[in-house]
Amino acid sequence: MDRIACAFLPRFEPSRTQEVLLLLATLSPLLAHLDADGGGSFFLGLRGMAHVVSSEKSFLEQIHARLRERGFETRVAIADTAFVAWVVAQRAQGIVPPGTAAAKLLDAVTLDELQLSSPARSLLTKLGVKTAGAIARLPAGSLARRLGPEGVRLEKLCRGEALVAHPSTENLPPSIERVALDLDEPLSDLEPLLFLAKSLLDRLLPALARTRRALTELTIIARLDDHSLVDHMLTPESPTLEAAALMTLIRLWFERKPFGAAVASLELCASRTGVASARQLGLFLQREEKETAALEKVVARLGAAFGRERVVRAELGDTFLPEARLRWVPIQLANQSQRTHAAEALPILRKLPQPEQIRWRDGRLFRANAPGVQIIHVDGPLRFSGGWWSTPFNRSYFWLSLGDGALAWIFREEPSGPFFLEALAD
Amino acid sequence: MAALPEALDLGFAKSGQAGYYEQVFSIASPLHSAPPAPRRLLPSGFSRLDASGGFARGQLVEISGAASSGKSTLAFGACLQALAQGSSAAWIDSSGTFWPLPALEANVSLERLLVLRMLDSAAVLRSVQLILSCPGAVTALVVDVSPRLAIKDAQLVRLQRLAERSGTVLIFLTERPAQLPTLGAPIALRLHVRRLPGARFSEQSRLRIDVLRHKGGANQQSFEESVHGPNRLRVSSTL
Repeated sequence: MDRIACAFLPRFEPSRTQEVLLLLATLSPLLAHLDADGGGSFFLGLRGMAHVVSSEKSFLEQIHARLRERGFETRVAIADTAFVAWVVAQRAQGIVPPGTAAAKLLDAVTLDELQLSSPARSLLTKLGVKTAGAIARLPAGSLARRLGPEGVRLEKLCRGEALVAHPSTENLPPSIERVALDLDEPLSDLEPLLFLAKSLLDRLLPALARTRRALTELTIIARLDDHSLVDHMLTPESPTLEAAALMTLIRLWFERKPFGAAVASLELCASRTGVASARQLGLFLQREEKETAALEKVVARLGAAFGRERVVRAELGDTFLPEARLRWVPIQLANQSQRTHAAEALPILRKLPQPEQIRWRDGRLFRANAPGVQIIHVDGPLRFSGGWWSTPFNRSYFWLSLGDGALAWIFREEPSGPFFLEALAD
Repeated sequence: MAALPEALDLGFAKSGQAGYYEQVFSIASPLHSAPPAPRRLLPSGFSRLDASGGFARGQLVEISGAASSGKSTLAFGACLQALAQGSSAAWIDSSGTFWPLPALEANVSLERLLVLRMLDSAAVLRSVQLILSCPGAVTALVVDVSPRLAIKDAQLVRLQRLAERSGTVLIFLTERPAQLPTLGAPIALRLHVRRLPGARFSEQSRLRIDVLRHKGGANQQSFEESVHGPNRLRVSSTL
């Protein structure tokens, strides 16, 4: 088990968080093990420190001394888990020997110290749970089922499964994880490239996991054999640490053959990261949330396979020009689905990619290379003009009912321009 | 339902509805006499069509008709019903002409209607496969089948199995005349639509819907449905 040091600053000033983090960063070779809770507690992992310091005691004294040099009053504790270290540091300075049963220690921690929401506090009080030790002794999952993400956090915290007590990731020093590999022989085949990407991903994701961050945007940078560079960003449906889900997106992109030459080096960069959500944990998903998650997955996959610009939704545009009233925008899924109220059928238009010039003569409509169709009814004209500040238009629109049942939407540039077929109702 | 022998399972058996082979087995063998599992249905929003069950989830549907026949309106009805249930729908637009402006003008939220503008035939099938391989992502998936898109029976069988697994109604829109056969054997329901002439745009127009194939239901039915004209366009009704 990795040991954790917690430095608690009783007279903590939030504005100096970054200063403390940077100071502690100089003490550890692994920046990924550094975090703060925003309330005066700083956490430092001891993984790999055996080669740097002679003992935990000397490391504790080193942290204490460095912080005092900067004028910080502090208490430092080292324990098996972040929470136990935090509990001890709140009270005194010291080292909890490895393997010490934490339950008795946690019995001294009251609910007041756990930063609980009022529903959580109310529930625990009803259950007769008064200490962190009592929470640790509850059956696994009992709080998670009742309290959702907060229950998960509490259980993990009190059982020592959380990496940091009361984490606050916004206090993390900004760092971008990246892994790269130069190849002896450039690669052009799909499978070896995927194998390479997987091996890089297997290095990148654990580095993120150590900081409890999940990947929200992956940038792939490839240097090609002809010295050109190709870069591309992939966005999973939610912050993720799952290699399989990311490999699906990478494969879909690679299958588009984005490289014009063999790949000489490949770099994966976690260009954006976020906190893994409760939804990602797969807990408490209601049907709609599950469907939203599935839809987000679809959007991510389609975006990777064909490009985000091909996956769109329709939105009303802010213009009077009928043909510009609808615009296509990238899909942005809300967590809560918005139900439509439509209970009746609504017509669909088929708008031609380009308006097609037509002729209207003797009560018949003539399209190119087609016999004329009788016009049964004409509705219109509806006159639109505007856009004088950019692209002026002055048009008359008509709806035509045709002898073959078709409904055609046509317009004419005024005062006497030709007619154009804009759309058909289908 | 008990599993059918593999050699006879052409993809209908798992469709959740009484297909041809299920009917044969229910008569031929008492071992297969258990009642079929209840079908999960998606309404179409058209009363007469819904009276006959609407669309069964996991089913492949072909809606054919000439340009401006009303076939897209019929398919869009299923999408609207899916959205009204809080689910999602997708429309693969292989012609680049899909234009749901009347729905937007009627204040219908289309936030969960995924539109894919795919002009390439291979990309169309690939995107259908990608959508269906995420179960529960969409309840209705409409595919605009352009004349240049040829779909083989084997591909349809695969898509049917994916649709069944994901509980999606997969609707193909074609311009095939009624005389031509359906897209392929796995199509469970084929409707042919035409708009009856004579309606003004400001009136409701009448769609005539012929049921050319209905596995497990009555074939060769015909009925008429009303559909609002495009007068719901705010630009034409208020200005």
